[in-house]
Amino acid sequence: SHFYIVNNQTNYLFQNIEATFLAANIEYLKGNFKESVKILTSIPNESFAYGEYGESSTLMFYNNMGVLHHAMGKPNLACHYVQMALKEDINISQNNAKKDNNERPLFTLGGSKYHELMYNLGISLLHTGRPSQAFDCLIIAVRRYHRNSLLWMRLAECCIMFHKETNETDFDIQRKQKELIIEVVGSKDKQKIVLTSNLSKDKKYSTESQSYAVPVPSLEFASLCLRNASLLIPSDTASPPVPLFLIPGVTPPAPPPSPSPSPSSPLSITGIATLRNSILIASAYVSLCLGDYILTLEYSKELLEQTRISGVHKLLAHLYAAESLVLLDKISEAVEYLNPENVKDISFEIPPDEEKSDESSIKTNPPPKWSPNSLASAHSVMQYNIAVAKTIRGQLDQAATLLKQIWQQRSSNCKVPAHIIMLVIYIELQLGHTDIARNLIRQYSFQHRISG
Amino acid sequence: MALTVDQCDTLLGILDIHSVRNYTLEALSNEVHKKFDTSEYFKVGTCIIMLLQNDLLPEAEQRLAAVTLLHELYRGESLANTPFANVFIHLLYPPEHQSNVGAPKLEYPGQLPRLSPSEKHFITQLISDIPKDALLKKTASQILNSDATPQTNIDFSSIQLTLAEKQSELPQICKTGIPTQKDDITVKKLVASDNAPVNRVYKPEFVTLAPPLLNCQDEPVWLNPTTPKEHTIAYDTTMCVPDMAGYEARQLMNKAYKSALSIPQQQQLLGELENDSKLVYHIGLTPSKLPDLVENNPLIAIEVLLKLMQSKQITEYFSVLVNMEMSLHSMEVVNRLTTTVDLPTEFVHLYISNCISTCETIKDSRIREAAALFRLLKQLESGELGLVASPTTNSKNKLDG
Repeated sequence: SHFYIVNNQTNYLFQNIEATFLAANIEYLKGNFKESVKILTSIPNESFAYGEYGESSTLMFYNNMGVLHHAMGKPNLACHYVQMALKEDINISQNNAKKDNNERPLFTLGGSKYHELMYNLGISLLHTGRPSQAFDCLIIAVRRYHRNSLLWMRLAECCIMFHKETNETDFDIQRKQKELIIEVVGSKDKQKIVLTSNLSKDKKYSTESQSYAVPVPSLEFASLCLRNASLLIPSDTASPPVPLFLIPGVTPPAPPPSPSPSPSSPLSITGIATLRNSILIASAYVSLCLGDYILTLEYSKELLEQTRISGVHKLLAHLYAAESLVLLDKISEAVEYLNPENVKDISFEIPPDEEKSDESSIKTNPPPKWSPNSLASAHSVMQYNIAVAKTIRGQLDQAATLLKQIWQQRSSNCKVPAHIIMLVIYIELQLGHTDIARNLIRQYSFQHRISG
Repeated sequence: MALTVDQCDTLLGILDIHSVRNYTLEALSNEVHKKFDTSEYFKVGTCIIMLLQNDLLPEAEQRLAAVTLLHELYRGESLANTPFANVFIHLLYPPEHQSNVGAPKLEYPGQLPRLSPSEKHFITQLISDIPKDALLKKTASQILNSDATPQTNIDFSSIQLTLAEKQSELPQICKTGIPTQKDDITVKKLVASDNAPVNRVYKPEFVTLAPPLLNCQDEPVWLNPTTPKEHTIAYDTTMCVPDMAGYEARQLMNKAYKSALSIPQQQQLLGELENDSKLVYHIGLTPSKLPDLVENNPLIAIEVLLKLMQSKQITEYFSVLVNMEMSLHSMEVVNRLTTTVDLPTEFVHLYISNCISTCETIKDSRIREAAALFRLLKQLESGELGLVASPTTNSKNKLDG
């Protein structure tokens, strides 16, 4: 049956439904999402029923709508669509189970798309900020597609997001102020104020001997996922497979291992570079939080040696390297890494490859969201960490001056870390200025009533 | 990691002003050793330090007793190895008290009480390596009232060095008020709980940003129709079907190694070998099986070997033949081979030599004589080129005769 689609520029005349789907696919890859939606919605309902055709056009329609909405930056809608596809898939499976195997045509066996749908659902859930649910979906998908580096990376990201939902808490001054004081003991003249021992909840040093391999969204499990992801990165020596001529008696050379991110499409050179960078930075972060700071330094350094690296990753690599160097007692080196001159932008894209400019420009990634989202805020984080390094080294006056500078820079465009207040209090106490410290505490914490 | 409320009470009881005034330092120390388990000494020490830091021991005698107890917890061990060594160093060498004239007095978190010279002198003696029995038999009051003898110059710099720490720490408790009396409730709240404030410190914290999500193209799976219905399944109907002709030939061959085949069987086997020139390679014959075949079915052996003449394996078969035990059948096989094809000369020579050697060892005298004759013949031959026609025929006749 023929059907007609008209849009502004072209008339599409499709002789069959397969072509329609393919046309929608092309528009998706080009980044024309609305166009693709239009084409998909033109397909009549129930064009292919699973029992007769071995595939369900309804299922494919819902899934692809989910894919499109994910690309458009609407992950919640994407989840909704993919869940409808999943429902369809489960219906089909249940119907099939009722029928006798001998009555069904052979091509209707094994046509379930369950794992692919779980994969898509997991990715969208992750982008809506629901890491625990995303983890549950992806952990099912990985049972089938366990050689997919991307998938392992996403699992690790679920764990990281579960551990720290967003970086905005680091800049939430009001919230951190409430956490300054844990309790006040005694009353009036004999009051003791107990301050917090840490404002950040990032670090998870543990001495429990529990296996890392328990599949829960923990940082420990993330470190294993990241190791898998790293081992499975596809080869980027992009030579097409050489035909093997088999000579009797001669063992042919083994082809280089090159896992593919099945069921996703193969990665381009840029895609591989981006994936590798992301794995490195995530590994650095996870190892830093788990207290394995020697590895953090290695990962950060390896990332900084890559020829193509995005602005955000450069910023983070410098920050993590500096923190691990302080823990290794190499404070001078650390301060060098924290020089704001090292970070000129916080873009998410990696620079294009100069040599290979003919790489196809597929643009289907959802718009990235991250905090801090201005270069000024990023610089303030670096400067704050410099102040921390100087404090630890004993240069208290210099640190105090720097902190004052950072505090004065704060604006709607430039957010500063909320930890500044606590560090200033610390410095004043170490310098012996108890009165000033007391005043600061009184000024910046609302929660507790402080006498005098 | 903290004392219980009852343990707190016990310690405060020992350091109570009346107790301190009436008992010698030694007695107080023994009391502590009696009432507390060795595994709890660290907690006791931590509590004592907290009391000192927060001015919860109002009288000088109490402070002196407290410091003494702190030392006595680890008596017998060298000072640098004890956890509270830093405390003694700080008591003897306190940080700067006044920054500028007129500026408010500097107070440090966790600072320890300032000691009088006689107290300092006592502590110097306490932590140095001199016998202390006499010292400890005094009460705190006696020590405070004694004259301060000039401070002996004991060098503690080595201890100070070993105590140098990497990171700075700040005790968590920040004082706002000035306590006038010892406050029991405060002490217990600060000391006796699971996450006791007395055990916690604040260290300057880094801001550790979490990385953004991976920025990836074409990641979710797009589903296109693959029209499974239009792909008919094509079965390979010849798969796993056994090769019947070759199968039977193999069966016969396997039989041929063990016993003589019947005439029809021989004819069938030979016929199949004749029909398929490649079959001879697939019937499972190996050089090691050749002797059995020769003995049981020499005609088959002959035909098979003739068919294998062109293959690389033939030399292996020859060497097996040559080394076989001489028998009527083996000679028959070799004889037929010589009449049909050109055999390698080394093979023939070797074979004849082996036959002659074998004959020489046979008990029958006539055979030995024959063997000697043939040895002579062979020696004559080896001077000429080529072979005498059909020497094997002669030897066979002679043996029969």
